[in-house]
Amino acid sequence: MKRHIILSILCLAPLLTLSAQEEADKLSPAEPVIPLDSLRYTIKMRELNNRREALQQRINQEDSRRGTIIPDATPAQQEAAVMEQDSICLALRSELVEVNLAIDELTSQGISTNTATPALPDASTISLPTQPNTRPNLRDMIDSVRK
Amino acid sequence: MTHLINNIIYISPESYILYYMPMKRSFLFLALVASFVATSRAHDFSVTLGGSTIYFKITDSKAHTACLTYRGNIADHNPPTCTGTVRIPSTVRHDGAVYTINAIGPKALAGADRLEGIIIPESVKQIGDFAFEGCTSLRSVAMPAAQPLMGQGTFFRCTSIADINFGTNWTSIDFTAFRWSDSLVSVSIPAKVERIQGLKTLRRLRHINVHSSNKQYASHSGCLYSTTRHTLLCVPRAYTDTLCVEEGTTAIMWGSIIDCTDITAVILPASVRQLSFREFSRMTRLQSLTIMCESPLLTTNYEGRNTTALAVANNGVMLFVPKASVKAWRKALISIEGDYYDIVDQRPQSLSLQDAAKPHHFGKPQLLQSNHIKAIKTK
Repeated sequence: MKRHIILSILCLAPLLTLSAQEEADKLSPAEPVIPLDSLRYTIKMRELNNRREALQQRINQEDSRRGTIIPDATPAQQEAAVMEQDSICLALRSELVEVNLAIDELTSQGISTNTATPALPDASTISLPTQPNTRPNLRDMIDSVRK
Repeated sequence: MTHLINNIIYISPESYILYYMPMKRSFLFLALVASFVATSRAHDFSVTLGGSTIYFKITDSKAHTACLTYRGNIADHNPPTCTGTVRIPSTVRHDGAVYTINAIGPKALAGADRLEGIIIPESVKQIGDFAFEGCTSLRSVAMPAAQPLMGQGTFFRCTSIADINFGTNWTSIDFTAFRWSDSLVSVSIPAKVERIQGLKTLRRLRHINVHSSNKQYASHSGCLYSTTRHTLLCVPRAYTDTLCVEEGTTAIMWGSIIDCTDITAVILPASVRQLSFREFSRMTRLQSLTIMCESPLLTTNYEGRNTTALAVANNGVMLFVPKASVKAWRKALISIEGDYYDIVDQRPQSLSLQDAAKPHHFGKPQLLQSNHIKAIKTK
């Protein structure tokens, strides 16, 4: 009985070693591995940049409406409209300043963009690996030894 | 090292590594990560003065300069808790070093709705964008002697500013920065100011006072004149009752009175030579107009010739002229419907010829009629 057990262990040992090596290979740097700090930074930065772009577009749109003359409006009505449009444009600019400040704050964390950018795939590209998990389980290995 | 192969994440002691995961889980994970993103805070240290804590960021650690800034992160939206009047210090001691406060950063005190007054030290050379946005209780602003560089929207939505003390070395003032306040009824222009903009954007302004040694501007009875007092430049929009233009004035700047709807009477001295026919066209409460000139003023260009017409906002306005010139005025005054032009030679320097030469259509009821001319006795 004891011999059987020792024999089994001796047979299983190289197989387990091989399996561990295979697992280690999967985690090698060749795989797309992303440091989490960089990921956080990049996601936030991308979000802020998108917001900035959207705001800039809206500011351009609203700026083009400035000085529009309203037909048949009294001078007081015209002035009120100008004031309102000014408020809209300034409110958007205020928001833009906030976004720029948030970007500055994020940048000053000390994480350079170079570290972050290459490692980050698009969210849509993060998916299951094409190869299934091929790690053999213990029962299969014992069976194969028995055979 | 810990392997959590089936639980998606592989954790190493050095860093967290995203390995692989199913699509749905990956989105959840990304959302989680985004929510934990920590940013650096804007301020480096704070100072509490008279119960108000203000925050500073070191801008140059070698030169020992710092700027006033907001608390924490911009995304946190922590409105400053400043109350009453805050005197920003010109220097601050921090960690054994003395820092000069040379700027007020963007959004530094934005949203401080209990801040009532701000005293900005001489050391401040720059005020950032929207630095005081939404300080709705801010009534008093004391600016440094030297004019700082001001960002956009500095006092945006500061609706209560009533008192602004500009520095003695200021050379230009743009009042559009304060147009959100309906409490600003009086302004003082320092001695060295050579350029003023946006006075007409202050809807409740009643009084303008210019320092007596100013070489560009002068004030009389709360109105702005050129320093020679030959040109009336601006009447505050909320000026009330009777406007008596100073003796010796020769020109009424286009638009200087037009939007003063609370004025009920205007008296122009005999010295006046330039007046636009549109100057009284929006003054809805105007009842009487006295022009002391002995000959009719040429106020408009009608059908290619300079002539006399006066547009008014209500047909009850009476024109008083010296007794000796009543006939001449009645003869000269045109009150027929048509396109009237300004006399372009009289346009302000800032107005282009193209803008000045636009026609203005007026109907008969909008023009002063000759039977509304009355005589007054002169000395």
